[in-house]
Amino acid sequence: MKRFFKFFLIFLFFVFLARGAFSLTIYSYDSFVSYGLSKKVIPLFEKLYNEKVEVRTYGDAGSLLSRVILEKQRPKADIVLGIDQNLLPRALKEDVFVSYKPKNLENIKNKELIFDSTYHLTPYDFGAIAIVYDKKSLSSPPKTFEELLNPKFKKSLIVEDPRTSSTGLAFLYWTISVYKDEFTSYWKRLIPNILTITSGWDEAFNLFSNGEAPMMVSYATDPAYSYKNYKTLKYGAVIFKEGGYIQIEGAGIVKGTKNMESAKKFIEFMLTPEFQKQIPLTQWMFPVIDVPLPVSFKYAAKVDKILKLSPDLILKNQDKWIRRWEEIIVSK
Amino acid sequence: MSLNKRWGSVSLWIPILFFVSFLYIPLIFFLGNYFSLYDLFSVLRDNLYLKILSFTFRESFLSALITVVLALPGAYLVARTRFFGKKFFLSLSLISFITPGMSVALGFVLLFGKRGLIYTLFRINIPILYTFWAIILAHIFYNLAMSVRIIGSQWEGFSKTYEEEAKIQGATPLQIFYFVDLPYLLPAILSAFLITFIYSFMSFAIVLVLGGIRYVTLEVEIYMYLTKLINFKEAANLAWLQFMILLILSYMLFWIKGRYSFNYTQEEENLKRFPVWGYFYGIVIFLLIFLPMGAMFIGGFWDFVNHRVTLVWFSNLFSENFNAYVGTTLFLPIVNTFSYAFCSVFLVSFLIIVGSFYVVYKKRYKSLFSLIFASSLFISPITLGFSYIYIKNWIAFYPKWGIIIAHTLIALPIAMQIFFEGRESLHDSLREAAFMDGASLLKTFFYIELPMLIPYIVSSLSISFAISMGEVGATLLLYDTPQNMTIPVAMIRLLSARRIGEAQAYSTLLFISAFLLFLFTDFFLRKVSKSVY
Repeated sequence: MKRFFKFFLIFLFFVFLARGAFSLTIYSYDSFVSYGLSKKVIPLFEKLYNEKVEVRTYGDAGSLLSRVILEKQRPKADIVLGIDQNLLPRALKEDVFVSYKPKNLENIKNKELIFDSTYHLTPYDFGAIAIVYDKKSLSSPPKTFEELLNPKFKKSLIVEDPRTSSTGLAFLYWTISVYKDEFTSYWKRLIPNILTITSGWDEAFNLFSNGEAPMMVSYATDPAYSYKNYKTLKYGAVIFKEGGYIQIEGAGIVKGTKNMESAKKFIEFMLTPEFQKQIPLTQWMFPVIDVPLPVSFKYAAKVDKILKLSPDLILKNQDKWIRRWEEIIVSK
Repeated sequence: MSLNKRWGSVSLWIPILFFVSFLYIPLIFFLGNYFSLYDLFSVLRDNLYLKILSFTFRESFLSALITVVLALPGAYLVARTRFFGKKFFLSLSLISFITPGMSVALGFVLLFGKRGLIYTLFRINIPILYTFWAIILAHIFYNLAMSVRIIGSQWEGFSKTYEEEAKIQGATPLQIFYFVDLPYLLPAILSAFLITFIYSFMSFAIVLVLGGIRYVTLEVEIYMYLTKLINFKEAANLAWLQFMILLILSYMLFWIKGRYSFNYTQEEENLKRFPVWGYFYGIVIFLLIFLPMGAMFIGGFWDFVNHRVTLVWFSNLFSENFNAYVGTTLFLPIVNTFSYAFCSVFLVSFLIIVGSFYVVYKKRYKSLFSLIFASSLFISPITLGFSYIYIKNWIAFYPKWGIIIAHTLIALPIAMQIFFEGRESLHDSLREAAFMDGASLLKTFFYIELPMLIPYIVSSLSISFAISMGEVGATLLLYDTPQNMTIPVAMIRLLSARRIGEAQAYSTLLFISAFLLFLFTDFFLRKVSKSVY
């Protein structure tokens, strides 16, 4: 028993050992590491600029920004990577980033992607929300928002909750960007066709892949993903004719950083082809500069018309929108 | 005695200090910074919140009521009868407690879904998913085993002579239960009710995924304001509201409990034969607990793309790729999970033993003391995690210590309930007799009381261990680097990497390791208890 205790203490000592020093600390969401982008670009950046980078990830983009705001008095990150335009207004209001306009911004050909005109956040990738469907159980998926209301799709759609999931929030914004103030009446009509509203994307995909419903709210690149990873073309994606809601993700330099020069270097590095060409097969998003896309991306749904909501509009209305949405759902 | 008394009151202050420094101060700093009384009242006038609140109440009350009623026969069987595989049953049933809510929800879908286990085997569709009752069923699954443990330990400690005496005097079994057992068991029943109620009140993924479209708890709103709308003010108001509701409710139950405390002495085991109705009960338990658990277990071997059994997830789990998805090796999270659980169980046992040491002599403060010990359940682990992040602006601490302390706080209420109940059930005359013979408070505690409390200690420590192993909310916010990750967090990382199969395989792995551990501790601790007698 005593020996066991000794062993246990030594073990604890090793477990609680402190860690080394870094020249740049990046905060991001989990999938920056788990989807593989971090592993592809960070070692490269370290080699090119002789830096030592620490990557820390914290759940999803919303939890990430919450943390950065809470750490404001004593910031620990130099770069925060993964704030999209839905979160931009909150980040600007809390004043957690410094403005920096990178030289490489000129590499971005499509100026619509530069979503922060104050240059606190620099875009690095973008994607679109789409309805993903199982081709086996659904041969002709709806093409427009109105077609989605067809009674033949009764209880056929799995939606993520905008209160708990960023995918769900983006879908709500998509309906708002199409129906403007009338979005509540659209949702009222949509409810009969929704099977359930899940807490996150993971649960939704799990239900969907177990055949609970033939459609779910997901991303335009999903078919490319399942082609690459599961060698299957059984899933298709549609973006409705009304236009696609674009989610642009950016990174910013944290106010109060002690490693300003390294941070600037990283923001510039993000907009080089070395970084950008890794985006499709890791993030499953589109790069912001022109680099060749992999073969599997031919299965991704294309956005013909870009729909966006302005940051000001979102900041002013987001609490109100969610509340109106909730009132419909709760009193269903 | 005077020296004893001084140490006695010091021992009372240790757990209080623990709660103040690790729960109240962080909470007051974080929530107090954003909270205003005026807004709290406007929350109470808000129609939407009232609707959500009334649903949350209804759902929690029904879950708790049904769970406790279902737990009573189980507690009797565990405490009073012999049956083959009792240890196996107790160990297995604890596992439902360590599964994260999300896995429970997915397990139910795997079982009752359109292409689920029941449909595949019997070709019948049970249309329970996406209804109110699916939520209740999942909450029963979650809490039933814990309730059986809490009530069962109490029943085990209740002398059979009273039941036998009543029987001699011609009481029917039902009368015996109602007039003899029930009053004695009431404190334990109320504890189980309260804990189930609070867990259901805080429920999250289960309510959203299984309940269909319209159901939502107050906790979902808090989570939304913390992580999606990043409106800390509204989050603070709702979190305070939640805290106050649960505080008042718990106080009411503790007050009732205080009026019903009895104490009796315990004696040698002499178990009855397993009754016939026990088999029917066994079937119910099988359907409610073991079938969903089985579905979750099979999850690791299920190819959801082609709908067949596969080993590919497990082989991926042990491959090089795992590191890429999660950012660490396969085994480090396992080592972490167990070491956090060991450390927090160590802290829990220290705090409940020290805390309970003197409180039996201070009956007046008992309800207040119980309330303090229960108070870490009144806020969600997520709110606790955020307040730790906030407090880090001024106080630096290792993330690992943050996780261990959070786990300790989360496990303490249940561990305390079980242990205090046990301590209360020991007869005062026992202590008095020991003093008479010249034993000190400490000696009485360690040599007379503790050995008699072994069943309670086993229950409360294994439940603490399970809680620590399965905790995700706070751990997810506090783990900082992949090197500090636990198994459930790694599971969530795998899920967010779209590695659903691997995540399910990992959760199957968690099942097996937890089960083996519980079996071992149960065996080990009961052996120790025999040697003490």
